[in-house]
Amino acid sequence: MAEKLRIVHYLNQFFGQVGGEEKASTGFLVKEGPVGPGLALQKELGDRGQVVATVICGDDTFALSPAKNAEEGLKLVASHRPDLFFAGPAFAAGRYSIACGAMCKAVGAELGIPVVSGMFEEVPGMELYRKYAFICKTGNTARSMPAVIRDMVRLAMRLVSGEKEMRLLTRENLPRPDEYNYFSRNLLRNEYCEKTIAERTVEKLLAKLRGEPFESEVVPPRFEKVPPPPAVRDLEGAEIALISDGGLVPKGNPDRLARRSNLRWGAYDIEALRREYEVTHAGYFNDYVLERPDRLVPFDVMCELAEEGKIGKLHPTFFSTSGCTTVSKRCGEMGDEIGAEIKKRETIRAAILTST
Amino acid sequence: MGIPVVQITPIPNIALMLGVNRIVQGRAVPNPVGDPSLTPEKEKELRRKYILRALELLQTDVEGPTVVTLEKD
Repeated sequence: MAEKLRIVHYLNQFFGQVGGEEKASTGFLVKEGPVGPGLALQKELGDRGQVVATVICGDDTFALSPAKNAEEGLKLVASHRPDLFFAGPAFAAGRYSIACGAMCKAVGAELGIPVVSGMFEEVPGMELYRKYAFICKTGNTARSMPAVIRDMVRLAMRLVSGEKEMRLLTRENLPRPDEYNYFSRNLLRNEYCEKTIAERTVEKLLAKLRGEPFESEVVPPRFEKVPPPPAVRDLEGAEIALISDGGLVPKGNPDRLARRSNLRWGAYDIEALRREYEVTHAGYFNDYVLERPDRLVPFDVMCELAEEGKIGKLHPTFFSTSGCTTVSKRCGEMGDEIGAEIKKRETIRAAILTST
Repeated sequence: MGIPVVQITPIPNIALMLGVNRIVQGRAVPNPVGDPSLTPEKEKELRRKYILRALELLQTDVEGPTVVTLEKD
């Protein structure tokens, strides 16, 4: 390597040696050269790189508005023209993990340079940002700092050593998460194999049947854990909304929900919908629902229960989508969008979602 | 904290895998809260049972993904 890599490091107020919790509302500041854990980082890098600047922000300040703050932080980072960006490690710190993740995401996307952090698996920043950054696995305390810094540098050096164009296109140089101790980014990597897929499949199946260890080449997606919201306490006063992924829409399908691989959802007046409707869903036999839509969206019973005072009210809008071979990522987004709409309406206290 | 959602689905395994917290096992894929083989009156009674079970689960605090069926344990 002819020239030393230019490195910018992100830290919170504590590791950045500004102060403890009493300084958590500190805004952005930049210190020249390495600070705190940055000294260990610099030592581990040796001649390979130079920590030119440390960008610091208080945890409370950053966590108030991660996306906006990441934009501000990005400008500070970019002004130092780095070849490589490190954040943290954050270990088990919640706000700090979000700050590190958000900074990595912004810097990686805008500057196109490798971004590396370190986190304990249970922090929110890991699940939120692991797809956008190389996040090394750490323990839950800062005691393991030297080992984590070593992991982060080893991974970073591996990332900058690859041929850039090849890495961007087919990711042949993407380091394996298990080899480099980082959280999977859900990326697929091209790899040359001597054996055909059929041979490899049969070998792995036989190993599985024999109870021998084998490694899957495609790992199924990991789904986020959602903390269960508390129970409804006063059902008699609660307004309930109905949602369904069974594809019940107004006649004419005004929002053009697709029968397959659908990416849209609609909000419809439930009484009007019941007068004229159709089903747009290729994944099940639609006739029973067409004959009586209550079999999918239990309008009749919900009205009855509202009249009897068992529930407060049925929300007049029905939220509809069609879930048939839709990718799970888009399903999650639609769930977020419907959730935001429900929240905006303020009066809805719970929802019943029916699925085919 | 968000509001609770209960999912009525004929295939609880998928909901469990995705991490849905409140799940009621529904009747069948083409009729999750109905049964075309019953008379309209009987079918509505059955639907009412599913909804009451779902409302019960909405009123229950859960630790994580929980599946219940129409028949109480």
